[in-house]
Amino acid sequence: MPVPKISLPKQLNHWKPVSPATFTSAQRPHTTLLFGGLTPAHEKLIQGGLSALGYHSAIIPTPTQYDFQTGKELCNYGLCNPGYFTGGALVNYLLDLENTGLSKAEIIQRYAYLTATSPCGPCRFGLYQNELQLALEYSGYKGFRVLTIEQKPSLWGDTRLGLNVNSEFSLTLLYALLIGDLLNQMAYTIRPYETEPGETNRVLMKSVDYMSSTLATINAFSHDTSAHDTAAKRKTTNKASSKYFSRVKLLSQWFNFFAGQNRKHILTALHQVGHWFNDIEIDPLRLKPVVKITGEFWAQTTEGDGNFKLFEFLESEGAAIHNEPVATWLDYLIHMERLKNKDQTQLIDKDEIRITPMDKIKAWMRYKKKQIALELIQYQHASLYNAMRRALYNLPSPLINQQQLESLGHGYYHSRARGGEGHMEVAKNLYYHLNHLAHMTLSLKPFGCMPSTQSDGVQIAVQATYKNMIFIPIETGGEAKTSALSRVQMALSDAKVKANNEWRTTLQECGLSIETVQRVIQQHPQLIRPATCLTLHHGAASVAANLAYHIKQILPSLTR
Amino acid sequence: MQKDLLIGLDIGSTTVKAVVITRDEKTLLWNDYQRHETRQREKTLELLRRIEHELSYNPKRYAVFVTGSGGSDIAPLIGAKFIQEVNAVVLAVRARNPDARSVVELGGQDAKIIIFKQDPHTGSLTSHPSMNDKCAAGTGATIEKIAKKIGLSMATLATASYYPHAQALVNIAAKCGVFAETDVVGHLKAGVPEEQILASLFDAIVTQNLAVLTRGHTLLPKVLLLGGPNTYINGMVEAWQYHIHKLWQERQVILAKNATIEALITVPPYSQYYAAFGAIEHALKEGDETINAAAYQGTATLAQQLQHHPRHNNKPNAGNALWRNRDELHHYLKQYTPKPFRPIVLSRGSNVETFLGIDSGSTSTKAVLTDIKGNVIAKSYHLSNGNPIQEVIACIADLERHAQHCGAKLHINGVATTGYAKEVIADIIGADTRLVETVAHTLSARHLYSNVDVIVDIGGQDIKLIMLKDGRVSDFRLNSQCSAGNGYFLQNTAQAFNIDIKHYAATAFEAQAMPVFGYGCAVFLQSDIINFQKEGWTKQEILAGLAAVLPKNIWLYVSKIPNLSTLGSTFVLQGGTQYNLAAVKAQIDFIEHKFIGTDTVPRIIVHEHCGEAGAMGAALEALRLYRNGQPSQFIGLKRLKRIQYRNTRNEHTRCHFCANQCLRTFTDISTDIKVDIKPSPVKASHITPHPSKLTLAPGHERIISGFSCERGSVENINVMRVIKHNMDQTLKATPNTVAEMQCQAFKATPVIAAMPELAGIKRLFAKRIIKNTLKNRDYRKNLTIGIPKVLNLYSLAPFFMAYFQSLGISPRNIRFSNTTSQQLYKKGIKRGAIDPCFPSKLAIAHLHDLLTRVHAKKPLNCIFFPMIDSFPGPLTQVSARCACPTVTATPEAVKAAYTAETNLFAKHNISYVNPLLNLDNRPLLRQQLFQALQHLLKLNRYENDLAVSEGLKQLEVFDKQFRQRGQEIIDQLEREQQFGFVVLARPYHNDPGVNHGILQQLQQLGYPIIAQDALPNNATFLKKIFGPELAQTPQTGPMAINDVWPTAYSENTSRKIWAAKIAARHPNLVAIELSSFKCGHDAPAYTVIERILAATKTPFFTFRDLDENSPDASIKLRIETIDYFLKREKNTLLCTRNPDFSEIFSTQKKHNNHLQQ
Repeated sequence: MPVPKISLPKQLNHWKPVSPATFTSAQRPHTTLLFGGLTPAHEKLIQGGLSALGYHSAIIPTPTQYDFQTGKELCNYGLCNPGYFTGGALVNYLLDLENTGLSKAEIIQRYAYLTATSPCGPCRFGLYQNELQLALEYSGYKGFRVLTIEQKPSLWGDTRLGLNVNSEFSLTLLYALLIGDLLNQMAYTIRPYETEPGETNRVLMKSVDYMSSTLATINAFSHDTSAHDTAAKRKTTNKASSKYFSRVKLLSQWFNFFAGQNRKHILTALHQVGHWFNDIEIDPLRLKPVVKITGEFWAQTTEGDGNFKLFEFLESEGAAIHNEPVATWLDYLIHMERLKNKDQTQLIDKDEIRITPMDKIKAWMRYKKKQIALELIQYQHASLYNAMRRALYNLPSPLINQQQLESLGHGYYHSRARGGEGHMEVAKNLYYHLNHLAHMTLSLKPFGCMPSTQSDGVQIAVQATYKNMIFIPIETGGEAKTSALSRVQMALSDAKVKANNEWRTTLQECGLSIETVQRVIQQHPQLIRPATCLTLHHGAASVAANLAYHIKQILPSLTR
Repeated sequence: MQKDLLIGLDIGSTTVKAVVITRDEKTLLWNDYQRHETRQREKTLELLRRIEHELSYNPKRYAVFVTGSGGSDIAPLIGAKFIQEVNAVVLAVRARNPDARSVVELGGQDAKIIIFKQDPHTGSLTSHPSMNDKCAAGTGATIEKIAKKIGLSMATLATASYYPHAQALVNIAAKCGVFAETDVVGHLKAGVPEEQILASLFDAIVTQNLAVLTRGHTLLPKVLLLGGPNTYINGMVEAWQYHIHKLWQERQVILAKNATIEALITVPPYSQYYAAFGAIEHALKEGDETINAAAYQGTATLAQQLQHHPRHNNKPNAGNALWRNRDELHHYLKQYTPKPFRPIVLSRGSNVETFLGIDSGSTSTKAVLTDIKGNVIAKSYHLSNGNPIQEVIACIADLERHAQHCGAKLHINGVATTGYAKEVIADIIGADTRLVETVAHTLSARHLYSNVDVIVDIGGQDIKLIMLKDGRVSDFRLNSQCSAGNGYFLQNTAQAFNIDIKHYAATAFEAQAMPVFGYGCAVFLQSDIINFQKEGWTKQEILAGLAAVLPKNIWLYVSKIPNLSTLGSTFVLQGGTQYNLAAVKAQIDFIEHKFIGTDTVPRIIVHEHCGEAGAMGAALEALRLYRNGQPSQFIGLKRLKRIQYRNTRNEHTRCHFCANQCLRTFTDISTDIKVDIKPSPVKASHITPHPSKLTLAPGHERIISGFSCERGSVENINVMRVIKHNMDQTLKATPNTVAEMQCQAFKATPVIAAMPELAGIKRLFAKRIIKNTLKNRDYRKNLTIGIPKVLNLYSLAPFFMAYFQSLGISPRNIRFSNTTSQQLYKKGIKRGAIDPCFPSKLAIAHLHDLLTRVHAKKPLNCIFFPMIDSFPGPLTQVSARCACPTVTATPEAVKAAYTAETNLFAKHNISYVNPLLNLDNRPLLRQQLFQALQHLLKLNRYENDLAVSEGLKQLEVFDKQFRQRGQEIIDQLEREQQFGFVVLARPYHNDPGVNHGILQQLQQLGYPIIAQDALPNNATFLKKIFGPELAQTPQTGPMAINDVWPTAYSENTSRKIWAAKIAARHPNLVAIELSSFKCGHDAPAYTVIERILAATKTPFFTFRDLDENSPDASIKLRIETIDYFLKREKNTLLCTRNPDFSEIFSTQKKHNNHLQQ
């Protein structure tokens, strides 16, 4: 046979993904942004924030086992569970909308999905957008808009022009996230000790509604409806003055959020919420093992089937929970960015390309400026969080310093390795153990979670060093719930023994009997207000033991 | 009344155990251990009633404590307190065996290991328990299933011994119960004795539990073996004793003098009741309050609850039944209940011309006899008993009996075989051809039905989906190794419920609702079954639910085709599982549901010989060959009956001609049967006698099977050499860049020494610096560095070789661990504490190899295991070039494993260096390496910087060299108009231990293999490949993937996608994807890669979920199918993808036709 001439590929139609539909500013008034995936408290608050920014929004309910199965059917095989849960929840929500009489085309036209991706590293989370598009396509919603907050213009340009991700947007969402974190923590801290079952949840719901409406009515934002308009204005006006004005505007916004009216407005509302929580009747002498929750971001945050409703289960089994705020994750991201920038500052000299001394100075200045900005952001973030904590009587736990976490975990898991919590999981376990803040650590992760699984491997060495540490990793997901709950029970039994021992030792050390403690708190009911007894820390993990230490300290003054 | 009698109940996944103890003296009054056969509540009720009756005490004297996986729901019904089972066991051990330091408890569905550690200061003991999280592999359930499979009675199982077989074990994957069964089927077919299989299973279970559940700890003496399997199966105990003792020797554990292993690793009395004892111990420890709170409330509530079973709508996960209404079910059954097969009545005294097809499958053997028109005259089906030859003889005897019954005589004009044992059977009976299973199934479906679009074949272990277009195979999907969703799982579950598989459908149709199972892994399904039983679902409902999950497993798990309507409209369901009408109903509903909203109504046909479709296809092929004039080699019915043979499979039959060390089967057949043994590649006169370890009896000939490469087909070393020579010739003529890269990457290369050349003011100090450098280079000459040959080092080793060489370290002193093998893995994996992907787990074993073998040969000063965070790479417009986080962090997990108990690096005086490296950022890389190695290597910055540059330069050289090689191969493919495979895989898939020799098998078949990193990227090639596209989308360069994958941050994923783009654009390239189980970075790109390749009809084959199991049979089937498909469809494919070829091909065809005329 003669050798054929190869002339490629003129006739072949190569696959290209469908170009994503654009969300324009003109569509904003008649488009509902769907979002979900966090806790109900966070979601409600974000809804308030979005409303203040001028967006219509709706919350996708906490994903269930059914959503997981839907997601598994529609997304790529081998994806991690958060993708299946959230993808399935979105599709099922749209199908429910369709059942109300809307056509697919109407749904595609009137709704868009807003989510976040992971800028932290090569974890699968960064690819969820693709998975969502796939699930939507398979379920007949081809062309449905999926907008990510971090999205950058791609080959198809900027497809989220209607979403104005400016500093107002970011700071409003930051408010919502921090408030959500703190309110959830309030509930987890108080609920195990409440004397009237359901009271904490009632207060939580009331507080979330109140804070959400507070966020929604905050009116310090300028509703900039079009990124295009701004860009167009910039073109027509003097470049230098435009730059100057936009910087002034940015600074004033920052000031407003971190130190000005907005902050004051929010803190005042939080004070009110703090009162409501502090009014809950509690019995702090219930001996509860304290369980620190850590692990993969979504698995440790969600309050549904995504982690077998483990928080509810733990509380029903007699534990008190220290959940993890989203704020720690934000703090971590800022911290990593700082470190990366610091590296670059130090490497200017090492660059192979020869640059002039002036270029070196310019580069140094650039990195330094960024460094200062990042440090300021990190400081402001922590400062805002702490101010909100104070408004809530310091009941939620403080953010752990990232430097401290780094130094605790780095020896076991390189703190610069990307992809998720990595060293932080190790460090949090150590932090809570060494500071006697919890009796056990429960690390939650989806099946096959890459960084979190490796972190479990590293914890073997940690446990070998700290022999009385109770650490249990649990893979969460759609299957094997019975076994997972049983394993949690197993560790919790040990934690209960630990809490019992701690309580006995405390009473011995304090020279107190249970009767004495009971008598003192009967005589001094102010001691058992949440704001008093749940914020104590005298070196024990349980509330009761810390209260005993406290009573020992103040007993002379009380009896005087 | 005082509670002075304490009941301890352990309600497990397969049994209920009960003990009654007096509170004061702890006297055991009553005990029993009963299988509940999935009726936990009923059995508990029965035991409690017996306690009440047989002990006849006042029930008010009892307090009751419950433990076990099924205990928490039952406890409130009898007033009991629930205690978690591991905690119960810990308490029992502490009370009954305070000297125990480790406990291994095997249950029906779970396995637990508890390690007690003593605080050196206080002497107090802390327990470190671990239990399997979701997978039931390595537990009693697996043992029982396999014993049933082998056909052993419980009595034989109990007395089976481990020791006689400890040195001659066969490979069984205990990681997954389903895989284990697949392996066992293979061994049974190959004639491995039952005892040897059982011993191998014990061994696999022990190894698996030691690797996963010890979480890096050593089981110290005294070790207690608890739970049912350890109590009742002697061989299991022996396997534990053997392995734990070996571990103690390896780890130099000091044992008490004069203590025997049997005393140190022991099964204590009442070992099966420890959890029940522990539940009571818990109460005793807690005191009066707890005991009084657990007052026994009698059996009334439990009995009542059983009578008034809660309806399904109260249960979570409820779905509808398999039918919507009775009419619909009736209609369905009327339409799909198969008509009984009536063999064709042959005319008395006739001599019938027939064709025989034999399908020797995984769970059964089938034979079909057709006439000259292809009509099925008779068929036979025999369930596998592990002896395929005997089964074939029995099947053929059935067919002959039919002819005799009719008074006719059979004349078999042609025979073809298919299925797992097709080769051996063909050799023995003289078959005319051996047919790949997929082909056989296609032939039969096409023969019976017109316009078939999709064939869905669900066998015992295999799922095959064959897509057809215009009567030709256009694509196919096979399950890789996981047989979730096959018929065997349904059969097993039915057996567990004591239901004959024939009554499965009738039972499942009784259900008016069913639980919704999550589809996927069979062990998860198993776990769901336990869960649903706990929730109160009945066996009818569970069987219905399982039938409903079958199509999901076929279409969503195995084939990942949610959009069925794109495949066509005519579906033929075949394979033995289709006899199960519940499974068929579920499939029909699923398929029909997927067509809702389209204009098409699917036509779904159940093959009228669904169980024998493969055998029928084989018979049709024999008929075709006959028509083509091929004379039959069949030995004839008379001689078939006289076949006498003996199977041997033991250490004497093991092949030592390559590293695979296959355990083969020798089938010795008496020579009055002329067997069709493949002609020897050498003349007999050239063969010097070479004695066999297994003497061949006079008058016999030997057939060898069970080998993975051709070398294993002979015993004689001289013949093997010739075979090897021929194989080598094939390999030489067929390039494999993956294998070449694997060898080349770890070799020394000429490098420039990192000697500083100083300029400017630094020159003033030059003398001193150079003097120091020279001195330090001398120091480094004697340093030995060990590097594990794993993960990304398969692509980055040239950098490190050059870096260290450049610094003056002799290449001889850069020592790598061995290439991965099963032996290396098994030896070293026991320190593993987690279960990540196989390539990551392997690192633990490679470190073991470095510490034990390499270090013993020549002491290592350092083990260097870098954490690669990012790569350099040729792709453009990517967001980042990150490595996978699992791979990056593996060195940290390995460090933990080797330092948790004792710092083994310090013990061997070795420094463990695992710096985090960013190879895409040269200044940062320099800094990272300098910080990590400055003290160990006595480095100065200048030489470090130079060495880094040299390393990166050599990496480029390596890259260029292979891209050039890739270009040569593609040129050759174009010249010869052949197909070559582009391998879409990660660097560590170059490791033959990770790719399971798949690529080499393809190479053996004559397909050149091109690694994705060996694809050319020179301007000419890229221009040719992308041509006008470059002008159409200027934002996308030829080295960019942003047109198809906007989120490109994982470098190896990006490279896979780029390689897929190239393969999709070149008519001579086909693609093969290798992907490991749990690969987090591959999964999101599966669909994109499939779509890129499907758009240009590029043949694309996947081997996903690769792990430590090497499913040889499944791999072989897939490779045979790929080969058949490519050879058969070659011209069509080349024409479709290259119009120029089409033109030339048609000219050539016309030319040939002209010549023929």
